[in-house]
Amino acid sequence: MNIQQLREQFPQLSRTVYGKPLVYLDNAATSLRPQPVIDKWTEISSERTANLHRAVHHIAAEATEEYENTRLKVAGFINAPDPSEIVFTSGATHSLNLLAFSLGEAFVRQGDEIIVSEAEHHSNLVPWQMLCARKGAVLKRLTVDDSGRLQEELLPSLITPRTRIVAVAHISNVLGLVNPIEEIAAVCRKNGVLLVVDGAQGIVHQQVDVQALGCDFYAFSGHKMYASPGTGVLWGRKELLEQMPPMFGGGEMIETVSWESSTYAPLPRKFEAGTQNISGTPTLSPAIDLMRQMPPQEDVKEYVYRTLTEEPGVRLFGTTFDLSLKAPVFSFAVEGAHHEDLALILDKMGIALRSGQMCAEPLMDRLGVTGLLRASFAPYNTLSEAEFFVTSLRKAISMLK
Amino acid sequence: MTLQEKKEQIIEEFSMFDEWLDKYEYLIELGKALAPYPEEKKTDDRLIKGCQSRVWLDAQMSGGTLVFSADSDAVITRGIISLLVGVYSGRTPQEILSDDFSFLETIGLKENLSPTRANGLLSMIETIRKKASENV
Ligand SMILES: Cc1ncc(COP(=O)(O)O)c(C=O)c1O
Repeated sequence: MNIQQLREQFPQLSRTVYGKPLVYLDNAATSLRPQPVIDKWTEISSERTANLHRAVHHIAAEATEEYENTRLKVAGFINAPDPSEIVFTSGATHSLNLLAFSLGEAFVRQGDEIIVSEAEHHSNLVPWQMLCARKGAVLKRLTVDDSGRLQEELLPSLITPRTRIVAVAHISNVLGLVNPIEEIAAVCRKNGVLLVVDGAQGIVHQQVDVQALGCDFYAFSGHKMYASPGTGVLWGRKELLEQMPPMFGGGEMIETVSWESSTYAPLPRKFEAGTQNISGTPTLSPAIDLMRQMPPQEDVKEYVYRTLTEEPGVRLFGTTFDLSLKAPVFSFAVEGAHHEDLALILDKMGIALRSGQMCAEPLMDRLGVTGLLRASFAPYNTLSEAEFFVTSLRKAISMLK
Repeated sequence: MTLQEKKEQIIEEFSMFDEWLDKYEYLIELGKALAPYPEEKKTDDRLIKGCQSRVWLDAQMSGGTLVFSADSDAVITRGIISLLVGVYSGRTPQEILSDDFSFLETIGLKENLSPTRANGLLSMIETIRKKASENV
Protein backbone atom coordinates (compact mmCIF):
# COMPACT_ATOMS: atom_id res chain seq x y z
CA MET A 1 0.00 0.00 0.00
CA ASN A 2 1.41 3.42 -0.91
CA ILE A 3 0.75 6.61 1.02
CA GLN A 4 -1.85 7.87 -1.45
CA GLN A 5 -3.84 4.66 -1.11
CA LEU A 6 -3.51 4.94 2.64
CA ARG A 7 -4.74 8.53 2.68
CA GLU A 8 -7.81 7.55 0.71
CA GLN A 9 -8.86 5.37 3.65
CA PHE A 10 -9.16 8.37 6.00
CA PRO A 11 -12.17 10.58 5.16
CA GLN A 12 -11.13 13.37 7.52
CA LEU A 13 -7.95 13.96 5.54
CA SER A 14 -10.02 15.51 2.79
CA ARG A 15 -11.69 18.13 4.93
CA THR A 16 -10.72 21.76 5.19
CA VAL A 17 -10.43 24.21 8.07
CA TYR A 18 -10.80 27.95 7.54
CA GLY A 19 -10.98 27.13 3.85
CA LYS A 20 -7.54 25.48 3.87
CA PRO A 21 -6.70 21.79 3.63
CA LEU A 22 -6.42 20.24 7.07
CA VAL A 23 -2.90 19.20 8.03
CA TYR A 24 -3.45 16.93 10.99
CA LEU A 25 -0.33 16.69 13.13
CA ASP A 26 -1.95 15.84 16.45
CA ASN A 27 -1.87 12.08 15.99
CA ALA A 28 -0.32 11.39 19.38
CA ALA A 29 -3.47 12.83 20.96
CA THR A 30 -5.75 10.76 18.77
CA SER A 31 -5.35 9.32 15.31
CA LEU A 32 -7.89 9.72 12.56
CA ARG A 33 -10.37 6.98 11.78
CA PRO A 34 -10.06 4.94 8.55
CA GLN A 35 -13.10 3.89 6.53
CA PRO A 36 -12.86 0.18 7.49
CA VAL A 37 -13.10 1.17 11.16
CA ILE A 38 -16.06 3.45 10.50
CA ASP A 39 -17.64 0.66 8.43
CA LYS A 40 -17.13 -1.92 11.15
CA TRP A 41 -18.79 0.28 13.73
CA THR A 42 -21.69 0.98 11.39
CA GLU A 43 -22.02 -2.67 10.39
CA ILE A 44 -22.21 -3.87 13.99
CA SER A 45 -24.58 -1.08 14.95
CA SER A 46 -26.89 -1.75 12.05
CA GLU A 47 -26.72 -5.54 11.87
CA ARG A 48 -25.17 -7.16 14.87
CA THR A 49 -26.23 -5.38 18.02
CA ALA A 50 -26.76 -7.76 20.90
CA ASN A 51 -25.36 -8.20 24.35
CA LEU A 52 -22.51 -10.67 24.62
CA HIS A 53 -22.20 -14.08 26.23
CA ARG A 54 -25.64 -13.83 27.79
CA ALA A 55 -28.30 -14.94 25.38
CA VAL A 56 -29.04 -17.98 23.30
CA HIS A 57 -30.35 -16.07 20.33
CA HIS A 58 -28.60 -15.95 16.99
CA ILE A 59 -27.52 -12.32 16.97
CA ALA A 60 -25.98 -12.61 20.43
CA ALA A 61 -23.89 -15.49 19.17
CA GLU A 62 -22.72 -13.48 16.15
CA ALA A 63 -21.88 -10.47 18.29
CA THR A 64 -20.00 -12.61 20.78
CA GLU A 65 -18.05 -14.30 18.02
CA GLU A 66 -17.06 -10.94 16.54
CA TYR A 67 -15.93 -9.69 19.94
CA GLU A 68 -13.96 -12.82 20.78
CA ASN A 69 -12.34 -12.91 17.33
CA THR A 70 -11.10 -9.41 18.05
CA ARG A 71 -9.49 -10.75 21.20
CA LEU A 72 -7.68 -13.39 19.14
CA LYS A 73 -6.55 -10.77 16.67
CA VAL A 74 -5.20 -8.46 19.40
CA ALA A 75 -3.43 -11.39 21.05
CA GLY A 76 -1.72 -12.19 17.76
CA PHE A 77 -0.88 -8.54 17.15
CA ILE A 78 1.13 -8.22 20.36
CA ASN A 79 2.18 -11.88 20.46
CA ALA A 80 0.41 -12.62 23.74
CA PRO A 81 0.84 -16.30 24.60
CA ASP A 82 -2.83 -16.74 25.52
CA PRO A 83 -5.89 -14.75 24.34
CA SER A 84 -7.40 -14.92 27.83
CA GLU A 85 -4.64 -12.51 28.86
CA ILE A 86 -6.24 -9.81 26.71
CA VAL A 87 -8.61 -7.68 28.80
CA PHE A 88 -10.69 -5.16 26.88
CA THR A 89 -11.02 -1.78 28.57
CA SER A 90 -12.13 1.70 27.59
CA GLY A 91 -8.57 2.87 27.02
CA ALA A 92 -5.06 3.12 28.41
CA THR A 93 -6.23 5.21 31.36
CA HIS A 94 -8.80 2.59 32.30
CA SER A 95 -6.21 -0.19 31.89
CA LEU A 96 -3.69 1.57 34.11
CA ASN A 97 -6.23 2.42 36.80
CA LEU A 98 -7.46 -1.15 36.79
CA LEU A 99 -3.88 -2.31 37.20
CA ALA A 100 -3.01 0.14 39.96
CA PHE A 101 -6.08 -0.98 41.86
CA SER A 102 -6.01 -4.73 41.33
CA LEU A 103 -2.26 -5.13 41.40
CA GLY A 104 -2.15 -2.94 44.46
CA GLU A 105 -4.74 -5.04 46.26
CA ALA A 106 -2.87 -8.23 45.44
CA PHE A 107 0.74 -7.24 45.97
CA VAL A 108 1.29 -3.85 47.64
CA ARG A 109 1.54 -3.33 51.41
CA GLN A 110 2.35 -0.35 53.58
CA GLY A 111 5.94 0.79 53.13
CA ASP A 112 6.34 -0.91 49.73
CA GLU A 113 7.71 1.12 46.84
CA ILE A 114 6.50 1.91 43.34
CA ILE A 115 8.95 3.39 40.84
CA VAL A 116 7.52 5.61 38.10
CA SER A 117 9.42 7.52 35.46
CA GLU A 118 9.40 11.28 35.53
CA ALA A 119 8.37 11.45 31.86
CA GLU A 120 5.03 9.71 32.33
CA HIS A 121 1.67 10.82 31.06
CA HIS A 122 -0.57 11.63 34.06
CA SER A 123 -2.50 8.42 33.28
CA ASN A 124 0.57 6.41 34.27
CA LEU A 125 1.35 8.53 37.31
CA VAL A 126 -1.85 9.55 39.08
CA PRO A 127 -3.20 5.96 39.50
CA TRP A 128 0.10 5.03 41.22
CA GLN A 129 -0.11 8.11 43.44
CA MET A 130 -3.62 7.01 44.39
CA LEU A 131 -2.39 3.50 45.11
CA CYS A 132 0.41 4.87 47.31
CA ALA A 133 -2.06 7.03 49.22
CA ARG A 134 -4.41 4.07 49.69
CA LYS A 135 -1.74 1.62 50.84
CA GLY A 136 0.78 3.90 52.51
CA ALA A 137 3.30 2.96 49.84
CA VAL A 138 6.14 5.15 48.60
CA LEU A 139 6.35 6.64 45.09
CA LYS A 140 9.89 6.83 43.74
CA ARG A 141 11.07 8.71 40.69
CA LEU A 142 13.12 7.35 37.82
CA THR A 143 14.59 10.53 36.35
CA VAL A 144 15.28 11.76 32.81
CA ASP A 145 18.27 13.83 31.70
CA ASP A 146 18.15 17.41 30.33
CA SER A 147 17.12 16.25 26.86
CA GLY A 148 14.42 14.01 28.27
CA ARG A 149 16.20 10.64 27.92
CA LEU A 150 15.18 8.14 30.58
CA GLN A 151 18.09 7.39 32.91
CA GLU A 152 17.38 3.68 33.04
CA GLU A 153 20.95 3.08 34.23
CA LEU A 154 19.83 4.50 37.59
CA LEU A 155 17.09 1.90 38.00
CA PRO A 156 19.18 -0.79 39.76
CA SER A 157 20.20 1.70 42.44
CA LEU A 158 16.57 2.74 43.02
CA ILE A 159 15.31 -0.79 43.57
CA THR A 160 15.24 -2.04 47.16
CA PRO A 161 13.76 -5.18 48.71
CA ARG A 162 10.55 -3.15 49.21
CA THR A 163 10.12 -2.30 45.52
CA ARG A 164 7.06 -4.00 44.02
CA ILE A 165 6.30 -2.26 40.73
CA VAL A 166 8.07 -0.24 38.05
CA ALA A 167 5.76 1.71 35.70
CA VAL A 168 7.15 3.25 32.54
CA ALA A 169 5.98 4.24 29.07
CA HIS A 170 7.17 2.30 26.04
CA ILE A 171 7.30 5.62 24.17
CA SER A 172 6.78 8.98 25.88
CA ASN A 173 3.93 11.01 24.41
CA VAL A 174 6.05 14.15 24.75
CA LEU A 175 9.55 12.99 23.83
CA GLY A 176 8.78 10.28 21.32
CA LEU A 177 11.76 8.27 22.54
CA VAL A 178 11.55 4.49 22.66
CA ASN A 179 12.52 3.37 26.14
CA PRO A 180 14.69 0.24 26.46
CA ILE A 181 11.95 -1.97 27.85
CA GLU A 182 13.89 -5.23 27.41
CA GLU A 183 16.73 -3.92 29.58
CA ILE A 184 14.39 -2.49 32.18
CA ALA A 185 12.50 -5.81 32.21
CA ALA A 186 15.72 -7.71 32.81
CA VAL A 187 16.53 -5.53 35.83
CA CYS A 188 12.99 -5.95 37.15
CA ARG A 189 13.00 -9.71 36.67
CA LYS A 190 16.34 -10.08 38.42
CA ASN A 191 14.94 -8.21 41.44
CA GLY A 192 11.49 -9.79 41.50
CA VAL A 193 9.79 -6.50 40.60
CA LEU A 194 6.72 -6.28 38.34
CA LEU A 195 7.01 -4.16 35.20
CA VAL A 196 4.01 -2.22 33.89
CA VAL A 197 4.41 -0.67 30.44
CA ASP A 198 2.17 2.15 29.24
CA GLY A 199 1.99 1.32 25.56
CA ALA A 200 -0.42 4.08 24.49
CA GLN A 201 2.20 5.45 22.07
CA GLY A 202 4.31 2.31 21.78
CA ILE A 203 1.57 0.27 20.13
CA VAL A 204 1.31 2.90 17.37
CA HIS A 205 4.98 3.13 16.46
CA GLN A 206 6.57 -0.21 17.35
CA GLN A 207 5.95 -3.82 16.44
CA VAL A 208 5.04 -4.92 19.92
CA ASP A 209 5.89 -8.42 21.09
CA VAL A 210 5.04 -8.58 24.77
CA GLN A 211 6.98 -11.80 25.25
CA ALA A 212 10.13 -10.37 23.69
CA LEU A 213 9.75 -7.15 25.69
CA GLY A 214 9.66 -9.21 28.87
CA CYS A 215 7.26 -6.93 30.73
CA ASP A 216 4.44 -8.17 32.94
CA PHE A 217 1.70 -5.80 31.75
CA TYR A 218 1.15 -3.73 28.63
CA ALA A 219 -1.66 -1.15 28.36
CA PHE A 220 -2.94 0.80 25.36
CA SER A 221 -5.86 2.69 23.79
CA GLY A 222 -7.68 1.93 20.55
CA HIS A 223 -8.23 5.53 19.51
CA LYS A 224 -4.54 6.26 18.99
CA MET A 225 -4.19 3.22 16.72
CA TYR A 226 -7.01 4.18 14.34
CA ALA A 227 -9.76 2.20 16.13
CA SER A 228 -12.83 3.57 17.87
CA PRO A 229 -12.49 5.81 20.94
CA GLY A 230 -13.62 4.14 24.14
CA THR A 231 -11.68 0.97 23.34
CA GLY A 232 -8.51 -0.24 24.93
CA VAL A 233 -6.50 -3.21 26.03
CA LEU A 234 -4.74 -4.45 29.10
CA TRP A 235 -2.43 -7.38 28.52
CA GLY A 236 -1.03 -9.12 31.57
CA ARG A 237 0.72 -12.37 32.37
CA LYS A 238 -1.91 -14.95 33.19
CA GLU A 239 -0.51 -16.12 36.51
CA LEU A 240 -0.53 -12.49 37.72
CA LEU A 241 -3.98 -11.60 36.39
CA GLU A 242 -5.28 -14.72 38.10
CA GLN A 243 -3.99 -13.55 41.46
CA MET A 244 -5.48 -10.07 41.12
CA PRO A 245 -8.96 -9.21 42.43
CA PRO A 246 -11.31 -7.40 40.02
CA MET A 247 -11.80 -3.65 40.28
CA PHE A 248 -15.42 -3.55 39.11
CA GLY A 249 -18.16 -5.98 40.01
CA GLY A 250 -21.30 -6.86 38.07
CA GLY A 251 -22.32 -8.22 34.68
CA GLU A 252 -20.52 -11.23 33.31
CA MET A 253 -17.54 -11.03 35.65
CA ILE A 254 -19.08 -13.51 38.06
CA GLU A 255 -19.21 -17.25 38.25
CA THR A 256 -21.79 -17.54 41.03
CA VAL A 257 -23.51 -14.93 43.15
CA SER A 258 -25.23 -15.62 46.44
CA TRP A 259 -26.59 -13.02 48.82
CA GLU A 260 -23.42 -13.05 50.90
CA SER A 261 -20.70 -13.25 48.30
CA SER A 262 -19.64 -14.05 44.75
CA THR A 263 -17.05 -16.05 42.96
CA TYR A 264 -15.50 -14.62 39.84
CA ALA A 265 -15.48 -15.73 36.25
CA PRO A 266 -12.23 -16.95 34.72
CA LEU A 267 -10.00 -14.60 32.73
CA PRO A 268 -10.56 -12.34 30.95
CA ARG A 269 -14.21 -11.90 31.94
CA LYS A 270 -13.26 -11.32 35.56
CA PHE A 271 -11.98 -7.89 34.51
CA GLU A 272 -14.74 -7.01 32.03
CA ALA A 273 -17.66 -6.06 34.25
CA GLY A 274 -20.77 -4.58 32.69
CA THR A 275 -21.82 -4.49 29.06
CA GLN A 276 -18.71 -4.35 26.92
CA ASN A 277 -18.08 -1.78 24.19
CA ILE A 278 -19.86 -4.05 21.75
CA SER A 279 -19.68 -1.73 18.73
CA GLY A 280 -16.29 -0.20 19.47
CA THR A 281 -13.99 -3.02 20.49
CA PRO A 282 -14.38 -5.02 17.23
CA THR A 283 -13.06 -1.97 15.32
CA LEU A 284 -9.64 -2.95 16.67
CA SER A 285 -9.68 -5.71 14.04
CA PRO A 286 -9.80 -3.58 10.89
CA ALA A 287 -7.44 -1.10 12.56
CA ILE A 288 -4.87 -3.85 13.08
CA ASP A 289 -5.34 -5.12 9.51
CA LEU A 290 -4.63 -1.64 8.20
CA MET A 291 -1.66 -1.05 10.50
CA ARG A 292 -0.05 -4.18 9.12
CA GLN A 293 -0.16 -2.66 5.63
CA MET A 294 0.90 0.89 6.44
CA PRO A 295 3.95 2.13 4.55
CA PRO A 296 6.95 3.26 6.60
CA GLN A 297 7.48 7.02 6.93
CA GLU A 298 11.19 7.28 7.58
CA ASP A 299 11.62 10.20 5.15
CA VAL A 300 9.07 12.37 6.98
CA LYS A 301 10.59 11.56 10.36
CA GLU A 302 14.14 12.24 9.20
CA TYR A 303 13.18 15.48 7.49
CA VAL A 304 11.31 16.91 10.50
CA TYR A 305 13.95 15.75 12.95
CA ARG A 306 16.80 17.22 10.95
CA THR A 307 14.99 20.51 10.30
CA LEU A 308 13.92 21.06 13.90
CA THR A 309 17.35 20.22 15.32
CA GLU A 310 19.03 22.62 12.91
CA GLU A 311 16.48 25.45 13.07
CA PRO A 312 17.86 28.50 14.92
CA GLY A 313 15.89 29.34 18.07
CA VAL A 314 14.12 25.97 18.15
CA ARG A 315 14.87 23.61 21.01
CA LEU A 316 13.75 20.06 20.31
CA PHE A 317 13.39 17.72 23.28
CA GLY A 318 13.83 13.99 23.01
CA THR A 319 16.88 14.05 20.74
CA THR A 320 18.76 10.86 19.93
CA PHE A 321 21.66 9.63 17.82
CA ASP A 322 19.61 6.69 16.62
CA LEU A 323 16.42 7.72 14.85
CA SER A 324 15.17 4.14 14.91
CA LEU A 325 14.61 4.79 18.63
CA LYS A 326 12.48 7.87 17.99
CA ALA A 327 8.82 7.96 17.02
CA PRO A 328 7.68 10.85 14.80
CA VAL A 329 6.55 12.81 17.85
CA PHE A 330 8.34 16.16 18.09
CA SER A 331 8.00 18.42 21.11
CA PHE A 332 9.88 21.68 21.06
CA ALA A 333 10.18 25.18 22.45
CA VAL A 334 10.89 28.29 20.40
CA GLU A 335 13.02 31.01 21.88
CA GLY A 336 11.04 34.23 22.33
CA ALA A 337 7.73 32.70 21.15
CA HIS A 338 5.08 31.20 23.40
CA HIS A 339 3.75 27.77 22.42
CA GLU A 340 0.17 29.02 22.65
CA ASP A 341 0.80 31.90 20.24
CA LEU A 342 2.47 29.55 17.77
CA ALA A 343 -0.35 27.01 18.00
CA LEU A 344 -2.98 29.72 17.45
CA ILE A 345 -1.26 31.02 14.35
CA LEU A 346 -0.56 27.54 12.94
CA ASP A 347 -4.21 26.63 13.55
CA LYS A 348 -5.22 29.47 11.25
CA MET A 349 -2.95 28.00 8.60
CA GLY A 350 -4.87 24.74 8.80
CA ILE A 351 -2.35 22.86 10.93
CA ALA A 352 -3.66 20.93 13.93
CA LEU A 353 -1.05 20.38 16.58
CA ARG A 354 -0.81 20.29 20.33
CA SER A 355 0.48 22.95 22.69
CA GLY A 356 0.74 23.07 26.43
CA GLN A 357 1.75 20.58 29.08
CA MET A 358 0.49 17.50 27.25
CA CYS A 359 -0.68 15.74 30.42
CA ALA A 360 2.89 15.51 31.69
CA GLU A 361 3.34 18.34 34.17
CA PRO A 362 6.21 16.75 36.13
CA LEU A 363 8.14 16.35 32.88
CA MET A 364 7.52 20.01 31.98
CA ASP A 365 8.88 20.98 35.41
CA ARG A 366 11.93 18.80 34.85
CA LEU A 367 12.60 20.29 31.42
CA GLY A 368 12.11 23.78 32.86
CA VAL A 369 9.30 24.82 30.51
CA THR A 370 5.67 25.89 31.08
CA GLY A 371 4.61 24.00 27.98
CA LEU A 372 5.76 22.88 24.56
CA LEU A 373 4.51 22.66 21.01
CA ARG A 374 4.10 19.11 19.69
CA ALA A 375 3.81 17.93 16.10
CA SER A 376 3.08 14.21 15.89
CA PHE A 377 2.95 12.41 12.55
CA ALA A 378 1.12 9.34 11.32
CA PRO A 379 1.96 7.23 8.26
CA TYR A 380 -0.68 9.15 6.28
CA ASN A 381 1.18 12.45 6.74
CA THR A 382 3.12 13.28 3.59
CA LEU A 383 6.52 14.86 3.15
CA SER A 384 4.84 17.90 1.60
CA GLU A 385 2.66 18.29 4.71
CA ALA A 386 5.85 18.16 6.79
CA GLU A 387 7.41 20.82 4.56
CA PHE A 388 4.30 22.96 4.83
CA PHE A 389 4.48 22.62 8.61
CA VAL A 390 8.10 23.81 8.66
CA THR A 391 7.41 26.80 6.38
CA SER A 392 4.35 27.74 8.40
CA LEU A 393 6.26 27.44 11.65
CA ARG A 394 8.95 29.79 10.31
CA LYS A 395 6.28 32.26 9.27
CA ALA A 396 4.58 32.09 12.68
CA ILE A 397 7.90 32.62 14.45
CA SER A 398 8.68 35.66 12.35
CA MET A 399 5.23 37.12 13.11
CA LEU A 400 5.97 36.87 16.81
CA LYS A 401 9.53 38.15 16.69
CA MET B 1 -13.78 58.62 26.32
CA THR B 2 -16.83 56.80 27.61
CA LEU B 3 -16.94 53.03 27.73
CA GLN B 4 -19.30 53.05 24.76
CA GLU B 5 -17.04 55.33 22.72
CA LYS B 6 -13.97 53.23 23.51
CA LYS B 7 -15.73 50.06 22.36
CA GLU B 8 -16.87 51.74 19.15
CA GLN B 9 -13.34 52.87 18.48
CA ILE B 10 -12.04 49.30 18.77
CA ILE B 11 -14.84 47.90 16.62
CA GLU B 12 -13.98 50.50 13.98
CA GLU B 13 -10.28 49.56 14.10
CA PHE B 14 -10.99 45.87 13.73
CA SER B 15 -13.43 46.42 10.89
CA MET B 16 -10.45 47.34 8.71
CA PHE B 17 -9.11 43.78 8.89
CA ASP B 18 -10.75 41.06 6.86
CA GLU B 19 -7.87 38.61 7.17
CA TRP B 20 -7.20 36.69 10.39
CA LEU B 21 -3.49 37.25 9.80
CA ASP B 22 -3.91 41.02 10.01
CA LYS B 23 -6.01 40.68 13.15
CA TYR B 24 -3.37 38.55 14.82
CA GLU B 25 -0.62 40.90 13.72
CA TYR B 26 -2.52 43.80 15.25
CA LEU B 27 -3.09 41.87 18.49
CA ILE B 28 0.61 40.98 18.58
CA GLU B 29 1.47 44.69 18.21
CA LEU B 30 -0.93 45.60 20.99
CA GLY B 31 0.52 42.84 23.13
CA LYS B 32 4.05 44.07 22.65
CA ALA B 33 3.01 47.63 23.49
CA LEU B 34 1.14 46.73 26.68
CA ALA B 35 2.36 48.75 29.67
CA PRO B 36 4.85 46.81 31.82
CA TYR B 37 3.35 44.87 34.69
CA PRO B 38 5.29 44.72 37.98
CA GLU B 39 7.06 41.40 38.60
CA GLU B 40 5.99 41.40 42.27
CA LYS B 41 2.36 41.32 41.19
CA LYS B 42 2.83 38.04 39.31
CA THR B 43 1.39 36.15 42.25
CA ASP B 44 -0.74 33.02 42.28
CA ASP B 45 -3.81 34.87 43.58
CA ARG B 46 -3.66 37.12 40.51
CA LEU B 47 -3.27 34.21 38.09
CA ILE B 48 -6.31 33.49 35.91
CA LYS B 49 -7.27 29.84 35.51
CA GLY B 50 -8.43 28.36 32.23
CA CYS B 51 -5.77 29.83 29.98
CA GLN B 52 -3.02 27.80 28.34
CA SER B 53 -0.69 30.71 28.84
CA ARG B 54 -0.27 32.32 32.22
CA VAL B 55 -2.34 35.46 32.74
CA TRP B 56 -2.12 37.77 35.74
CA LEU B 57 -4.73 40.40 36.45
CA ASP B 58 -4.48 43.03 39.15
CA ALA B 59 -7.43 45.24 40.14
CA GLN B 60 -7.31 48.27 42.44
CA MET B 61 -10.09 50.69 43.42
CA SER B 62 -9.04 54.28 42.87
CA GLY B 63 -11.39 57.28 43.19
CA GLY B 64 -14.50 55.12 42.71
CA THR B 65 -13.21 53.37 39.60
CA LEU B 66 -11.49 50.04 39.06
CA VAL B 67 -8.00 50.23 37.66
CA PHE B 68 -6.80 47.06 35.92
CA SER B 69 -3.33 46.03 34.97
CA ALA B 70 -2.47 42.66 33.52
CA ASP B 71 0.15 40.55 31.83
CA SER B 72 0.62 37.23 30.09
CA ASP B 73 3.59 35.23 28.89
CA ALA B 74 1.90 34.80 25.48
CA VAL B 75 1.77 37.81 23.22
CA ILE B 76 -1.59 37.28 21.48
CA THR B 77 -3.15 36.95 24.92
CA ARG B 78 -1.37 40.16 25.93
CA GLY B 79 -3.00 41.82 22.96
CA ILE B 80 -6.45 40.74 24.11
CA ILE B 81 -5.63 41.84 27.63
CA SER B 82 -4.60 45.19 26.28
CA LEU B 83 -8.03 45.55 24.64
CA LEU B 84 -9.84 44.57 27.83
CA VAL B 85 -7.76 46.81 30.07
CA GLY B 86 -8.18 49.70 27.61
CA VAL B 87 -11.96 49.36 27.67
CA TYR B 88 -12.67 48.49 31.29
CA SER B 89 -9.92 50.13 33.34
CA GLY B 90 -10.96 53.41 34.97
CA ARG B 91 -14.69 52.51 34.91
CA THR B 92 -16.95 52.25 37.91
CA PRO B 93 -17.93 48.74 39.03
CA GLN B 94 -21.56 49.50 38.01
CA GLU B 95 -20.48 50.44 34.49
CA ILE B 96 -18.55 47.20 34.14
CA LEU B 97 -21.37 45.07 35.51
CA SER B 98 -23.95 46.61 33.20
CA ASP B 99 -21.81 45.90 30.12
CA ASP B 100 -22.33 42.66 28.20
CA PHE B 101 -18.77 42.36 26.77
CA SER B 102 -20.26 41.60 23.36
CA PHE B 103 -17.85 43.91 21.53
CA LEU B 104 -15.37 41.01 21.61
CA GLU B 105 -17.73 39.00 19.47
CA THR B 106 -18.35 41.96 17.19
CA ILE B 107 -14.66 42.24 16.44
CA GLY B 108 -14.57 38.52 15.72
CA LEU B 109 -12.35 37.47 18.60
CA LYS B 110 -14.53 34.75 20.00
CA GLU B 111 -15.08 33.15 16.64
CA ASN B 112 -11.46 33.68 15.69
CA LEU B 113 -9.87 32.07 18.68
CA SER B 114 -9.56 28.41 19.45
CA PRO B 115 -11.84 26.82 22.06
CA THR B 116 -9.13 26.78 24.71
CA ARG B 117 -8.33 30.36 23.87
CA ALA B 118 -12.00 31.28 24.03
CA ASN B 119 -12.09 29.70 27.49
CA GLY B 120 -9.12 31.79 28.50
CA LEU B 121 -10.91 34.85 27.20
CA LEU B 122 -14.04 33.91 29.12
CA SER B 123 -11.99 33.41 32.29
CA MET B 124 -10.54 36.89 31.86
CA ILE B 125 -14.00 38.39 31.46
CA GLU B 126 -15.31 36.48 34.45
CA THR B 127 -12.43 37.74 36.58
CA ILE B 128 -13.05 41.35 35.55
CA ARG B 129 -16.76 41.00 36.39
CA LYS B 130 -15.95 39.33 39.69
CA LYS B 131 -13.63 42.18 40.67
CA ALA B 132 -16.39 44.64 39.77
CA SER B 133 -19.03 42.87 41.84
CA GLU B 134 -16.67 42.65 44.81
CA ASN B 135 -16.28 46.41 44.69
CA VAL B 136 -19.82 47.74 44.14
C1 LIG C 1 1.76 7.78 26.86
C2 LIG C 1 0.28 7.89 27.12
N1 LIG C 1 -0.26 7.24 28.17
C3 LIG C 1 -1.57 7.27 28.44
C4 LIG C 1 -2.44 8.00 27.68
C5 LIG C 1 -3.89 8.02 28.04
O1 LIG C 1 -4.64 7.47 27.01
P1 LIG C 1 -6.23 7.55 27.03
O2 LIG C 1 -6.58 8.98 27.23
O3 LIG C 1 -6.62 7.03 25.69
O4 LIG C 1 -6.71 6.68 28.14
C6 LIG C 1 -1.93 8.71 26.58
C7 LIG C 1 -2.84 9.53 25.74
O5 LIG C 1 -2.76 10.73 25.66
C8 LIG C 1 -0.55 8.65 26.30
O6 LIG C 1 -0.02 9.31 25.26
